[in-house]
Amino acid sequence: MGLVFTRLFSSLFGNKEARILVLGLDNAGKTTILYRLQMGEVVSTIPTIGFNVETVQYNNIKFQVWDLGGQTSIRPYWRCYFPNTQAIIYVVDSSDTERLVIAKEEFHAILEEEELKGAVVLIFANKQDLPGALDDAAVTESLELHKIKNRQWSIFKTSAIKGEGLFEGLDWLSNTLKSGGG
Amino acid sequence: MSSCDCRVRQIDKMLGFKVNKDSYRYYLISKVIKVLPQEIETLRKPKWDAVLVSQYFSDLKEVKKHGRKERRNKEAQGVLATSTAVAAASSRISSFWKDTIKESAHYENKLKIKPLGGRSALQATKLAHVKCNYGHCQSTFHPTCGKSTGFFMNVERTKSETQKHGVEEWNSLNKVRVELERLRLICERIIRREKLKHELVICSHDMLRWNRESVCLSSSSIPPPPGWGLHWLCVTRLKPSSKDLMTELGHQILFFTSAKQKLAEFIFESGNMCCADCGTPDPKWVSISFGAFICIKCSRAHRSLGVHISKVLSVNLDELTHEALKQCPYAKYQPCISQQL
Repeated sequence: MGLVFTRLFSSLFGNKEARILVLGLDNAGKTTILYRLQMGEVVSTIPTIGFNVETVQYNNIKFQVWDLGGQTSIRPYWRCYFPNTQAIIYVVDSSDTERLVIAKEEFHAILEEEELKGAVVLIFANKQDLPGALDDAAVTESLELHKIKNRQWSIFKTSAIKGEGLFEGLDWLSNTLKSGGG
Repeated sequence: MSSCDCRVRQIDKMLGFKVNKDSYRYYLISKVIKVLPQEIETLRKPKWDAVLVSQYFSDLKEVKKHGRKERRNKEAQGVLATSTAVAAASSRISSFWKDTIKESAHYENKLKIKPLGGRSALQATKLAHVKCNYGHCQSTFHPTCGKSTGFFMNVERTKSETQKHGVEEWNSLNKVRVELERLRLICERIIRREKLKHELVICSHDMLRWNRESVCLSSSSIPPPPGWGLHWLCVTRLKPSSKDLMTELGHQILFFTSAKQKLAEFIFESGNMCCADCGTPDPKWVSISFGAFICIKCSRAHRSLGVHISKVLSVNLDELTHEALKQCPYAKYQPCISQQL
């Protein structure tokens, strides 16, 4: 009962909650992005085995951000977190051009999921600070984002180390969620 | 005088009596001699029958044995046991037969001499010396002449000869059979040993292949430089032939085992038991750019460098495929690492 009132109250005052998954291949920068968003600091991270979950308050939206490990053998477990997800942040290592093909395959596999049919997709072309990193247009082409149908999506050039592009992406996400997307 | 005449008459009478008796004796002797060979023949007949029957039975047994042997051709050990047993039994039987036949032959000879002696008493003066009296044959004994004069000796001799020959042949055949059996078993043993050897050779070939692979990867010709410790893999990759080596290795890995298993095996190599950077035992991460095994804490630093410097993968959680290994552009890092050196 209390939960219902809380939800009603928060919807009245525009304090929305959103469950967000941060996905991507291993070493894409998911955990760094999460802590950069949450604490505003760069933390050197160890590979995530399992998940990290943090709550980020931004633009009157309470983002519950789930950061899942991206190693090959733990990718199948992503689907356990899919229900009730409003948005996906897909992080791509722009400098790891050799694995963009794998990233594309994983990305399109996620989009095929029935449980994520209504989720909006935000793509972070991360590690823009590194030399040889592809820009957002190249990443769009590599991931074949033009194939996405019936879904709101956007791509942002980001650098989790420098803190560039992250909040722009989050702005887009909050606006999309507020406007009824997801 | 009268007494003298009387004595002479008595002596004459006695002499006449004696002569009569002698003649009668001779008559009796001759009669006995005439009858004796027939009796001997009749006596011998059942014996020969028995011999023939026994031989027939033994032949039958052998045939049965042959049949059994053919059936049990594959059961080498069983056949060995039976064959040895049979051989022993047959040798025993044959020796027994030999003895009996020898005995009978001896008996026959004994009997033979008697009639010969008897008849020769009528024809020749000496008992031992038997002379042929047919025409002008000079030989002491001639089988054909003997036969023509009614000597049965020839027939008997041929009979006994065939009998003797048959037994000998049988024994020799038995021996040959046993020898052949032994040979066959030896051949089988050799074949089995060769098969085992073949398997061993295949096994050792596999082992050699493994060894070659590991040698290929480690390129142990270059010892790890001090301080570099576990970066020796990286160093070996700086060789000009390293790229070819790695592609070859990649193919080999694809062929034999997954790269992940291979990588897991590398961990157990002497240098990879601890983290390349901090020395923590049991590293579970690998920088495939440097070919160094690192712990999860040190992977933090490696990952922060970016994939163009250090590409970190998990031994357990990542699938290091042939493609993954191929992706490592070792040549690209050559200047970078040589500057570090």
